[in-house]
Amino acid sequence: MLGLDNAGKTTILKRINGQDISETSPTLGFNIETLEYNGYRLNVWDVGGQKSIRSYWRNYFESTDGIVWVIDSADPRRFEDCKRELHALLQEERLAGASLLVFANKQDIAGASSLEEISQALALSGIASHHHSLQRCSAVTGEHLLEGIEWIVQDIASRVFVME
Amino acid sequence: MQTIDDQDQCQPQHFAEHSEVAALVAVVCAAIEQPSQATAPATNPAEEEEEELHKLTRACERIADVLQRYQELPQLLDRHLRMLVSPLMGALRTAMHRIGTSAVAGQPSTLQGNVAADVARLDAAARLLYALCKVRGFKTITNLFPNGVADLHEAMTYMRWSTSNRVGSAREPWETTYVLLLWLWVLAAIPFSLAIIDAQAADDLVAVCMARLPQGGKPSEAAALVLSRLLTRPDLCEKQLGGVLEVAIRDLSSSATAGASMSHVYKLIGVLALLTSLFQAARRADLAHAAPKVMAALETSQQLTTSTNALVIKLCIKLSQRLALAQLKPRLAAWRYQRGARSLTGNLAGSAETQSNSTEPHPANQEAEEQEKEDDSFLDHDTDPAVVESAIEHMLGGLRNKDTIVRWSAAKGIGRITARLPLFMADQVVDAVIALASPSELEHAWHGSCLAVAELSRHGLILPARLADVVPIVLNCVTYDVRRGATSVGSNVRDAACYACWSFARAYTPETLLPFLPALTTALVVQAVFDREVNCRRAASASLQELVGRQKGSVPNGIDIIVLADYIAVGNIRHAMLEVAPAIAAIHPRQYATAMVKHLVRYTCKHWDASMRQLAAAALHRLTFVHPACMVEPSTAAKQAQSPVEMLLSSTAAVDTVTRHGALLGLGCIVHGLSIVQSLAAERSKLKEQPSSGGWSDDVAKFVDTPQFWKTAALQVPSSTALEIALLPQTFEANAPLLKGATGELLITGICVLIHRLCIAGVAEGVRAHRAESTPGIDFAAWQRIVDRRLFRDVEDYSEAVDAFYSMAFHLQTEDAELLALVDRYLAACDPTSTAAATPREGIIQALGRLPVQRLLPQYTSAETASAPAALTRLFASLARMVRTRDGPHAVTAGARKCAATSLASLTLALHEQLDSSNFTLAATSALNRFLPETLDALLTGLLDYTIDNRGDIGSLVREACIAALGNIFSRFYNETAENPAAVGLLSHFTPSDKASVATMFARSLVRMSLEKIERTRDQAGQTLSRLASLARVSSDLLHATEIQQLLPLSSDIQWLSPASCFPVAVHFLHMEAYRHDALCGLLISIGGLTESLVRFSHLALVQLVRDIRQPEHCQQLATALVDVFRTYRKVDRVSIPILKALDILLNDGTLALLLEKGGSDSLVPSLFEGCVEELARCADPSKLFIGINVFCGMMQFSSGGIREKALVQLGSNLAHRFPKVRKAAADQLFVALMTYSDGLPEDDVAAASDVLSEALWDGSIDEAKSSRDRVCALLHIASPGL
Repeated sequence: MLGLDNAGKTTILKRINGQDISETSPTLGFNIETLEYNGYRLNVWDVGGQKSIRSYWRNYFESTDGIVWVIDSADPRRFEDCKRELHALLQEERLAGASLLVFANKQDIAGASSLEEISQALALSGIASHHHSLQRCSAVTGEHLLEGIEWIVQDIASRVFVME
Repeated sequence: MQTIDDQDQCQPQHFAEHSEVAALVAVVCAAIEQPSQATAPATNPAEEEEEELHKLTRACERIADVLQRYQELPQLLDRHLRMLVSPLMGALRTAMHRIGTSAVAGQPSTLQGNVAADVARLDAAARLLYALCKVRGFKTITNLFPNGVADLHEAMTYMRWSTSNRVGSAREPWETTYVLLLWLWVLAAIPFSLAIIDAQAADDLVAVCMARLPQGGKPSEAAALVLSRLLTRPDLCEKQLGGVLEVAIRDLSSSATAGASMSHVYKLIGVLALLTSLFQAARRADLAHAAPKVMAALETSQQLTTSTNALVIKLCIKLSQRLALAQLKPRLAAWRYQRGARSLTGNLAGSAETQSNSTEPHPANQEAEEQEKEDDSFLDHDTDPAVVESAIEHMLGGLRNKDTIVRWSAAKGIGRITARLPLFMADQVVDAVIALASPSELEHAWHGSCLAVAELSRHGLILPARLADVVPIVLNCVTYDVRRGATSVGSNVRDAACYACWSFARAYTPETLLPFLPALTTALVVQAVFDREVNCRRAASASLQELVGRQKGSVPNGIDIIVLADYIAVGNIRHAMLEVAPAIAAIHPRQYATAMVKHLVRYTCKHWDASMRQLAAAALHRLTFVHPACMVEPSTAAKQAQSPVEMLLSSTAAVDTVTRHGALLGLGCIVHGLSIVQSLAAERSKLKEQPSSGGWSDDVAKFVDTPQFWKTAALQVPSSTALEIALLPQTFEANAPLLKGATGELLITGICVLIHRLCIAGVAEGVRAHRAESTPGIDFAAWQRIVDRRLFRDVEDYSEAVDAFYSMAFHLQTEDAELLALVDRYLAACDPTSTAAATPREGIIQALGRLPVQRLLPQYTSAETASAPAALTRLFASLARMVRTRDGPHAVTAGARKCAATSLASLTLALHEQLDSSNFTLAATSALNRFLPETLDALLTGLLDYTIDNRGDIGSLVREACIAALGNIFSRFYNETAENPAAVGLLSHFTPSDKASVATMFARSLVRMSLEKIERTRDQAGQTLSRLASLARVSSDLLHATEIQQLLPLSSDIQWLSPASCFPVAVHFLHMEAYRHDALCGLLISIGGLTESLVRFSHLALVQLVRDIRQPEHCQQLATALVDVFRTYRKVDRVSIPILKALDILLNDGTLALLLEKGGSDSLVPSLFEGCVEELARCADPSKLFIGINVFCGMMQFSSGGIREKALVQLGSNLAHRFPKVRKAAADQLFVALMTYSDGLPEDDVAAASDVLSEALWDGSIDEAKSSRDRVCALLHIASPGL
């Protein structure tokens, strides 16, 4: 689970995991959570998104089946930054073939960008290397989180497992 | 079936002990986190600490114990892992923190005081964490390890302290090192520059890990992991990676000359582990340039060709694979989404996504399109194709390695590397892989080939066009079984071939696989039911399931087949071969029955395992009913093609005895099956309708209703072939050298089976009737000679020969005189008075027991002329005599006595059966009247057979046989229906003595044995007794019949094998007048027995019975019986020694005193005392004397009637016994007894006597002992026996 800092990655993870989200501070390092979903076991690695940390993301790419990219829909000033990081990430050989779920988070905030705007800003239509899906959501209210997870789990499950 | 079900029930369904383990973990963690403070102020801190550590250890052991149970099903722990790991890691951290701070505080660095205790606690936590890693795998467990920046500080502080302090004898246990390194592995992923957190951290960590790496074991693996993660971090990659890599390359290339000592091997393993994990963790770009150098070093080291260590070779293969992968770009196949949609909702919805999937191109086309552009680009511009080439060579070599782990690793490598190669190269790899399964290769290569095919197919790398080449090879492997000496190899090949089939099922669309499906399913069905190894049967069953499930509907009746051949059903080989196989065959006889018969004839009938050949024959018998035609029709249309029967017939002339044996069995069973089919068909055409199948055995009835059956039922073996088969026994018999030795015995049993089946099938009769003049006739004398050969020899199992003997006597229409001569010849051969004791008689006796009695009975019509025929008289007399002849110059062995008892019973029952047949009623009645007294008497005598030889209580064989024999006779005779007036009361009129009926006599022995020590005998006696008492007509003849019935109802759940269950019930026989004596005898033997549970529960049962007695006369009766039994078995050591032991126990625990108190007669103790004296008079057996001494000491408790004085006299004489050990024992025991039973004696004298007893040298010279003895006697005021 990746994205710029303050995108809401840890909050989403906590929300999915049924934990208290009132006190979430910037992630210093990383969290690992194991979830059960529809008979699948998801090992979720949530890594901090501060600029200084980003170069270390590559340490976490081993046997990755799916990427959850989280973007703060209410912070359009950093969309460009976000696009650059995402596209750099997708160049990574070890993530080739992984399914990509983009969570447009913080949709509950007034003035949040629409899905079209975000899709355009991130140039999602130009991604041909990965199966991907954009999902609006709000970690605070919890809405649409499940749809996103459902999509990525089914996408991963419906391909032949080739163990790399 | 039973065992499999049990097995499945034994497997845990969920983590049942989770709350117990959580509580224990809490205890452990509390003990580690807050040592001692929680408890009250310690009076003795050191002791307290020790106690606490002991408690800690116990809790840890229990946790590790529970966890171990889940080794097979570790995922059951998953939901509870967090509650186990988190507290333990917390405790580990606290302990490290305390150790770290005390070190910083400058306390002495020796391992003393608090630090030592903290270290012990730390190790305890680490051991538990290791146990968790072992059960669940370290990757799952480490996900739960804390990973904050502060944790890194703790772990580093401890690590530094440990490096300098835990050295020498105080070395860290490897579990602690392992867990610490795993934690550091997790912490090495922290996404911050290490230099900011701790300037020295990186250098220290690398140094520690590099030092640990060459030491081998689990910590070495963990050290390699830490290094791989550390050195591939962006902040360390450039600074440190190069240096470490250089060292590793140097070490690897120099290993060729380093020698083969264990330390060198460990070092090498460490280097290889480091390199493999480095190449896995690093980005391809970072290490691609180093790959050629490492590959060169690997080649220089020559480990792949010279090493003998499987682990080294495996790691080399793995490294080589990773090196190749570092050179090759990953390729993504777009068709990954085409197969195997696993979501039910997705399938049902038929959504847009599914449609978009279906438009994706087929793999083959896709590949072809992409081929052009890929061919140039699969290598990076700066990489070396030679590395890839070497790696593929290594993989192909690894597939042929003799170690399974190497082959597995190579197969995985083949799959991964090939996935990155362009089409034309991938195809070459496929060629090379299937070429490994060639006859010139060993089974290892075949196994490797199958594994690699499976891996390639899972990666989708075997293109549909190649399936036509690959499938036949895999099918070949499915039946791979190569004889090697007395056994065979290849079960792993068959297992792996099933895996390959399984992967085909998942990788290809139904359209692609359709042409190969019939062959694949047929081969898998055959293997699922006929493979000898359970893992192969189950593997085939699983592959079948995958094929049926994934190849949607392409397998006709697929669901029916997989339901029949499921995991459980194929678990038991008998069930699989005899039940599952015919049932599946009946679904599609043309396809499955034909293939099964072919397989049985080709392989299973020639199997090295004799029981497999027998099962194969039995399976052929059953398959005959499913598809009779396929037995006599050639399987292919080719001109020279042989039918299964013809193939077996030619196998009987094979060089190999095993093949011949299997062929004989198979022929017999098929011919027998066909004869049943024929007679059914004949009956049907006579009646113009299906006959009711009621007259046939179940397995026939199951199949005769199928339409296929009636279509083909009229087929039969061509008469020329039938004649050839019928001539086989005499052909073999004429070839004497063939029948010599162990292989000869095997052939003889095979011929016996054939003879047996031919007789039942009536083939001999048929051939005789239709024989042309020019053909040779069947020589039945030769058949008899073959059967004789087997029966007259000393072998384990005569069943085949006995069956053949019976069928010949019953089915062949021989002259009566011939049969009588046969009986006489057999009787003479086993007559105990005229043959040596060692004559092998068991086979002859068993055969005599199966004689068809009706052929020996004259058909009388009136009672006057009825007299028993001479042959039967001799038969019964001879068998009865043999049961009785236990010793003397003509003694019959116990085994033969057992057979004689069984044969007596079966002949008696056979006569009894003739009471119903109109021709023989009178003759049978008179014969039974004549023979029953002698038979019953012999069998009752057999119940008392307690012969002991060097094998132990060998008489138990005879007793058990007699129990079974009498039990069967009684249940038949007493279950008489009123329609057979002649037979009623045959038994009740017969009383062996004036006192009791034969039923009561039998019951007495059963009661005795139901309380005796041998579990198996007890079980049989108890159950027989319970059945006996429940027989309808027995009540008038059996004393206490109703009471026995109430005590042991048929429905009772007494576990006769378990002393705890049976003694409390059976002890109540002591209340039944007629059985008291025998019951007490059995019980005393058990109380005086050896096994702990036997003694305990038999003793408890008696004590409870005595306590519960309400009426004094019951005590009186019991006491009388006790004296009586003791007297009956005077000087019979088998009984009297256990009785003495039992007396000792009963004296010591006060049961005897209680019995007296409750009303036992006064004469009880004096009688017992006199009994003991007589029993021990002139006894030279020290162990018996020791028991006697104990009993006399116990007798000292009875001060009245002068018993104590008499006992003292006896003990006094033992004090001066000629055996020093006896003197010593007497002194020791008397010393103890004087402390307990000296009331009424002058205290001073007793004290003085005790002094002498304890101080004198009893096992010294006899004179010294005598004088000491005289002093003791004087002090205790008894007459010294010496004076």
